[in-house]
Amino acid sequence: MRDGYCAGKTETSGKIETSSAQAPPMIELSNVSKEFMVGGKPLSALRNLNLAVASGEFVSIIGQSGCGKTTLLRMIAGLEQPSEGLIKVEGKVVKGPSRDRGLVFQEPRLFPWATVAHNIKLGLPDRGRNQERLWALLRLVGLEDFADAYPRELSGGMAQRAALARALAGSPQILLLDEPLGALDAVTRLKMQAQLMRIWQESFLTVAAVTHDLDEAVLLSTRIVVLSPRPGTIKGVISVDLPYPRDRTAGDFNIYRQQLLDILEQS
Amino acid sequence: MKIGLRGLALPLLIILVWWLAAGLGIGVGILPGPWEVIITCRGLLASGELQAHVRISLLRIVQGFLLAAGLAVPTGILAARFSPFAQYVSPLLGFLRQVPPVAWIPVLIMVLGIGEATKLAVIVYAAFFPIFMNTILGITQIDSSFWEVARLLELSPREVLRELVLPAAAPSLIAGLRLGMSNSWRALVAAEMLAAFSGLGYMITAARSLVRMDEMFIGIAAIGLFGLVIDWGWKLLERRVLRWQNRD
Repeated sequence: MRDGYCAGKTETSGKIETSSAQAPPMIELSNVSKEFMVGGKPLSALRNLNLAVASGEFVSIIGQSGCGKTTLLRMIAGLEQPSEGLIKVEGKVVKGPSRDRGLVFQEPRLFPWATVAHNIKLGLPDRGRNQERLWALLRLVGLEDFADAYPRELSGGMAQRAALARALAGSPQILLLDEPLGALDAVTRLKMQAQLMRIWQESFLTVAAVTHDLDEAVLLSTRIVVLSPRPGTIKGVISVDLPYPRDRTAGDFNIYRQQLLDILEQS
Repeated sequence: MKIGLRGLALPLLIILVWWLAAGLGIGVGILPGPWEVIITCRGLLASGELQAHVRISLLRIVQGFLLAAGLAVPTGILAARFSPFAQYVSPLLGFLRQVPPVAWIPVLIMVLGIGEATKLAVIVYAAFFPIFMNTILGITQIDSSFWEVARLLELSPREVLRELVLPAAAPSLIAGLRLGMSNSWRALVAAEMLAAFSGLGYMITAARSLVRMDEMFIGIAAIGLFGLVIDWGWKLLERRVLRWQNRD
């Protein structure tokens, strides 16, 4: 049942590129470029990106450090504007941040003066007047015993889970993940990957995740976007047609990983 | 917060030396002995004179400080958040900051007379700047990553103030309030010495004209003690408010 549901998802994502005429894609980048001023000189971070992400997809973005992955995610979140081109979400140009697009940063960025529950409340549109929703989120990320803890009392993985719950609190359509698992140890990372998978499969979320980890990309994604080194351009897009849950030791898994490595090494 | 026995050693030593000096007859006629001071103090307490001076000084401090905080915190927030506002007020405030409150006392006496208004103005002036400067400092030091979170969560301006600005700036804000209060305490005593008929500062000046060294000592001791107690109060508040960063 679970596999079928997600295999269906993958197929839809394959179709969407050819038949996107009916409904606008969830996320659409058209000719997006971004320049920064560095030391008084313009530096091209991203150049001419075109991409359409369908509703319900899990897209991973990989590429070498400094290729503009984080910038891309920040632009989709609305924290930054592209220098050229347009970013649209459901056909509407992104002008600023919205609860509709939850972003989890590399670091948890919880307010240190507020408890875990309070931090998550700030993400809820009703600011936690509905306690049930708050507790549902705490349970979802397994932090119900730490509702009244301050962020300094949490481990790295727990803090990232709290940040994830805060991002999910606004009931976003899109979840943007900027290597939120990057700083975690191997075991915590595996657990969080599984948790993320579960949350994605049980909802209608569209996920765009930046990662360094090729295994993680193949394990989780319906599609993987490979960016070239600076200025970042789309080097290749791979659709991962494997059923969920995926087996890291399977032969097919390695084929995808090798394919990614090949594209990365070309660039 | 622990006073600790070590902290009591030096004050006790000073009293002991004073006692011995008085016993040996050093400074007879100028320096009163501890016993003399205690007897005078009892007299002042019995007549209610000391309590009256303390009460009026504390009342002035509370009024002046609340007024100063009420002015300085909002202006500090405005100056930190809206650069045009800061551009208008910074040069003038920068100039005024350099003028010690005591320098204004003669001017204020001319303009406002020696009524309560003069004392209040001096206290407000003395307390304003540390509170104002520390409010600005606390807000400008807020990490930009938190502002991004506030934008992502679509916090309203009021929520930004309550959930981000005030708690993030709290350590600096409290330091400013604490400094503002100790400044206003100093300024008050100066103002009471120059333009008052009541209060601890007046008590010291009046004692001087009567050559009552013992009363001067009592006035000074009262000023120091109340200043100390108020400062402890701030430390307690700081602990409570900044519980989230306690590392015990």
